[in-house]
Amino acid sequence: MRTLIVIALVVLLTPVASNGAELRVVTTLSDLASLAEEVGGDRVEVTALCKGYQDPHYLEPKPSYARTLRKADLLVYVGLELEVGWLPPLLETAHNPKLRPESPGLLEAGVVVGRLLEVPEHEIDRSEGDLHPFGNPHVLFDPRNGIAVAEAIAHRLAELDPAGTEFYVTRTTVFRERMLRRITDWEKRAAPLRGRPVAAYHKEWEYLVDWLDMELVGYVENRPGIPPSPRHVKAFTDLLRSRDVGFIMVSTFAGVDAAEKVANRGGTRAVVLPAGVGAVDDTDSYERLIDTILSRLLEAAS
Amino acid sequence: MRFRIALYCLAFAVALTAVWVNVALAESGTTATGTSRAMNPAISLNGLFLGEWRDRTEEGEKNAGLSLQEMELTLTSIVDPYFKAKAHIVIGPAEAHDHKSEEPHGDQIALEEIYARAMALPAGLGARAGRILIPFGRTNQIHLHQLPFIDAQRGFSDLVGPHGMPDVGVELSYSPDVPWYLNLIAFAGDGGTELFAAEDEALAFAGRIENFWDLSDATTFELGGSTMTGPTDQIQDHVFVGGDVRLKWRDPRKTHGKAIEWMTELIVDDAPEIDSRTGILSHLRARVARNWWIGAGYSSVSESLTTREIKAQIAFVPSEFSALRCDASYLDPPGDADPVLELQLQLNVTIGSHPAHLY
Repeated sequence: MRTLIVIALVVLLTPVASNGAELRVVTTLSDLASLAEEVGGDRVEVTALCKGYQDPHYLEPKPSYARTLRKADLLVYVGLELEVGWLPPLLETAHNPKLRPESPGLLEAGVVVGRLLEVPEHEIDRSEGDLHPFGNPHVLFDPRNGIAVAEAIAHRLAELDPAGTEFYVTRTTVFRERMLRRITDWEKRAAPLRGRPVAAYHKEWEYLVDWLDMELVGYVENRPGIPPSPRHVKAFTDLLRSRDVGFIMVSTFAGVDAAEKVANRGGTRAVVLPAGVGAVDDTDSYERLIDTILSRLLEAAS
Repeated sequence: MRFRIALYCLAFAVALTAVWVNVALAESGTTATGTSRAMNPAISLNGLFLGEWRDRTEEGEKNAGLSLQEMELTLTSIVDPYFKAKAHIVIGPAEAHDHKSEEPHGDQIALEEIYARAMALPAGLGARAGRILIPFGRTNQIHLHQLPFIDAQRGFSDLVGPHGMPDVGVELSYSPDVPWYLNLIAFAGDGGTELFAAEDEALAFAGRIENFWDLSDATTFELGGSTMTGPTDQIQDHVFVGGDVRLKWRDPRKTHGKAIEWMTELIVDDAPEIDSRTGILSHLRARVARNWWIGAGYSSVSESLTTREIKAQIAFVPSEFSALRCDASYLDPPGDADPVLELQLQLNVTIGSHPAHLY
């Protein structure tokens, strides 16, 4: 009996060994995980809570996520209230003192980008739908923001693991230069999209539209997160026709059927876009995610 | 009635004054006054408005009515680098807070929970202190507006109370590093609750073990066991034992995709000196369309005779902040008593910054 008790205690109290990495990094989004892997290499072990095919607004706070967070040295999250519906209870039950507010173990990636879009200039309320009061959090659909976030992650990794500073700096430099070259290529490829009137199902593609200089004429959901009224759908389909809108962008998880119906009525097409790394095939990294999004847009516009 | 109106007017006036003062303060320097809204807690208000009809009543009772089922004010804030605090203050009919109350019905304010949670403990340890819902079973740890039905099922309410039972005490938890989520909780409280009678120095104690497995991205399985003991007005060491199981499935690839939840809880009021009772409550709920949920529940309480209850629900949930739920309940009392059919319609609205609920 005593032996059994000893074995049970050893099992319960012994931390599961890491795979040799210096830091355990947990990210809310798979996009952030990809960026952390880019700059952290094999010095970090990265886990994403929200898969690319899941809606980061509505992830359920499963206790298994709290278990993952309990072992984290660093949590990278977008912030700007994107994960407000599920991250706070997970942090409460994770019991990880490294992830206390204002500790270096917490990194809010959304606030490191150069320019936040749609920061409300007036007092907002929920009659306008699920608006984000601190600005649009979908910053990673602009790859220039992806570089800024990767640099911020690298900076924080170096702070937590000073011995790896040179390693992180080198990898970040390589990533930045590669991404800058890709951005130049992508912008050339995206020339047919420039100035093109487009629409979206949900308010999440603004940074992509801004980067590619498209014209976003409206949304199927006129209030984010709220199903559109028949009157709005009618007015919107009229708008699609009158403006010769190229396509309606919709993510894999939200409203694909509705977007396709509205697109049909409005004489255009819906383009289903992966909204996170791993959402569909060929999106196993942040770089490939942006590449796939652009390819799908160009295919829809052709 | 006059008291109730006065209470609402007072709450409204306090809220208005607070807003006015905050706006005024925001526009002025606060160093000299020592008051600032910068550190105010997140505030939310949940209101449950209820319409009820039942086909038979006790003498003197109305068979239909409209009421405020409960109003819950929640305050949440970081205290300092070491603690986070939360308070749930509820206003509602007296019997909703004290099922043993012999006072005439009216509204009362109750402090359902107020506690501080330690944020700096290492090694998977957690601690809460204050007035908290006793960690016994699943149903006892959730607030009224989170219950699967408008009212708690009889298997719970007959044994424990109309909804979650709090006590002033200390809770310690430990989550060891095992391949699944395992949480061990121990609680020691004053015993001054609706159920326990703290007439002497005896304390109340509770323990709970929670296990959770991700069967897939879509499916999760939970298994819990609990016990609590304390002095009741019947016996000195009244022991309750409980077990609960929950299975959830949700299409992970859709924002508002189909979802199913099944939960069953067993509560044993183990008091051989008097009469042991067993309560069972079970429900199955499903999201059948983006904003629509349906559900059904069965509950029973067994002592020498058995009370059975069946519930059915349809709910329209237009957003995370509002819901309209309709419950039909069929209560089959023990013995020769006639069954009771009840219909309830509840409007559930939340304003402000309400903290996200646990899974």
